[in-house]
Amino acid sequence: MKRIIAIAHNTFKETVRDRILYGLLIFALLLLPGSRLVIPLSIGQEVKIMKDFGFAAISLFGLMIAVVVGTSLVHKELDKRTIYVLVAKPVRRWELLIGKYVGLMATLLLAFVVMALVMAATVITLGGRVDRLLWLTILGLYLQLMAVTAVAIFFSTLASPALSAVFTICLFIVGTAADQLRLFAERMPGDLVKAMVKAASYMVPNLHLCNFRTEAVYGLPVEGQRILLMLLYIFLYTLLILLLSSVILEKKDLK
Amino acid sequence: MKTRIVALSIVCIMAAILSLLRMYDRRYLSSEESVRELMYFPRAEAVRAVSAGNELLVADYLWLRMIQYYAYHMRRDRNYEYLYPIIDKLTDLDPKFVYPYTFGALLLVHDARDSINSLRLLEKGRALNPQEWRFPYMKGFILYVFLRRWEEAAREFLSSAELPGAIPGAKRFAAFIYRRLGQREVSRAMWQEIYDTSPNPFERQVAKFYLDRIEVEETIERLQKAAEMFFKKYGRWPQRLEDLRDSALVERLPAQDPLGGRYYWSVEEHKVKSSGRSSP
Repeated sequence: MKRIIAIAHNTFKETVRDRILYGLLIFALLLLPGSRLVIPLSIGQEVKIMKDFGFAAISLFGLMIAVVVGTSLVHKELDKRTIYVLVAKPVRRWELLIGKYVGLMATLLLAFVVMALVMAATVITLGGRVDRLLWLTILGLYLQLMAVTAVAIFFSTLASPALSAVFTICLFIVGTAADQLRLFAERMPGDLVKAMVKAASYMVPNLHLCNFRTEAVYGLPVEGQRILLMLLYIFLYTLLILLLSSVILEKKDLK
Repeated sequence: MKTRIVALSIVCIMAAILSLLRMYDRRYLSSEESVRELMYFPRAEAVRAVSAGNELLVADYLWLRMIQYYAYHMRRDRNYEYLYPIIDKLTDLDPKFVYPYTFGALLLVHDARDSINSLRLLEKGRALNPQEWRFPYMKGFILYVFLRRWEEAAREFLSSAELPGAIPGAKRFAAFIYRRLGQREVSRAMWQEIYDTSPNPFERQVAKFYLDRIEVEETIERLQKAAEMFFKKYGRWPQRLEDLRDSALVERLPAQDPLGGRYYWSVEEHKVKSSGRSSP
């Protein structure tokens, strides 16, 4: 555990120093209040549009940070051969992977807190209300990225950062529409195709489970059971992907 | 010397790019063209599948485009051919976005003179949001004010009043209509409600126009009655409105009407008229 914490701490320090992270974060922070320039055209719908825009910006920039940093984390160690130094120490490969993941999630958490506070301030200045549902939606977006970051790390153990990034973004898009995929499957011709599409819809991370944007924008109730289901699902899915990534890394020939 | 040539080249290239873009804007970028493109907008299901959870943002984009399209045609030709299809697509993407239904229905019936799609839009909203009181309320309003289908309007107001969060006015309007079918006060109360509660300056401007028009109609009615009394009393029609004041049939004459015109007596038609504007 101590080793994981030490690696996580180092990864956090390494990623918060990353210039790409700052670039993305500054852009997001300029964009959130900057959206106010478009909002006057919306005649009376300022708060709704600001919330939609804010959630989309947080999700997009969070995804970019997760993909850009996540896909290069393990690959960088392999490419620069610094992994030899690490594996020569009494550190297991899975500990390295989990540590890196935890460190990156801590960085993402920091970025999310900053973006969420800027969004909340912008909503308040427009006369909107910052309620429990707004924070729940941002938590949902963070949980989406928990699963997506695990997927990014999984792909980075198999492919180059560029390819891993493409795969991760594709999986993110499919994951946000996982429930739609199941509905499409019902309409597909042929039992085999139907079964395959349905199976695929269960394999991709169901990120729609973590989407509370409609509820936050329209103040609709959210069942406690759904929140529990989301937490449990994301925890198990992330665990599974990290486990698979660890197995791949363990078996990887580093010579 | 070399630096100057490079700088000059950059400026020339930038100027060329700008003029090309200006040419493109003039030739191809009209509101009509860009909105016609929206007709090829994919179905809501497809947008939902590829928008990575951002379908509400896509709906917001359509909302902003709709407003621009409306404003563009309001200033030019008042032809709103694509208004209904845009609102239909945006409400497919965000079925709980109430305002485009109600505002769109008002624009369709008032500006586009398309009562069929106006009512269809409200019915769609009601089917997707059965607990939302604004849909039957707006339908009642449109049926009463624009289509003069008073009994149906009263039924809609009643059904709106039964839904959670409905304004007290809904039941009151139903009662008014049932008791005094066709009276101006109901219409005035409805427009006043919109004027007082709408967050939209344009909608308030429309409401203000109709409130003023009701006032003009009432004044004309009052002056016309006085003119008829003048006829009974003197056996001839007045030559100008001032005759009514001079013969003490009205206490004073209004200086001008609230629609920016003035009241006058039409000698040929024997009617009191107003020269104020006829649209908001």
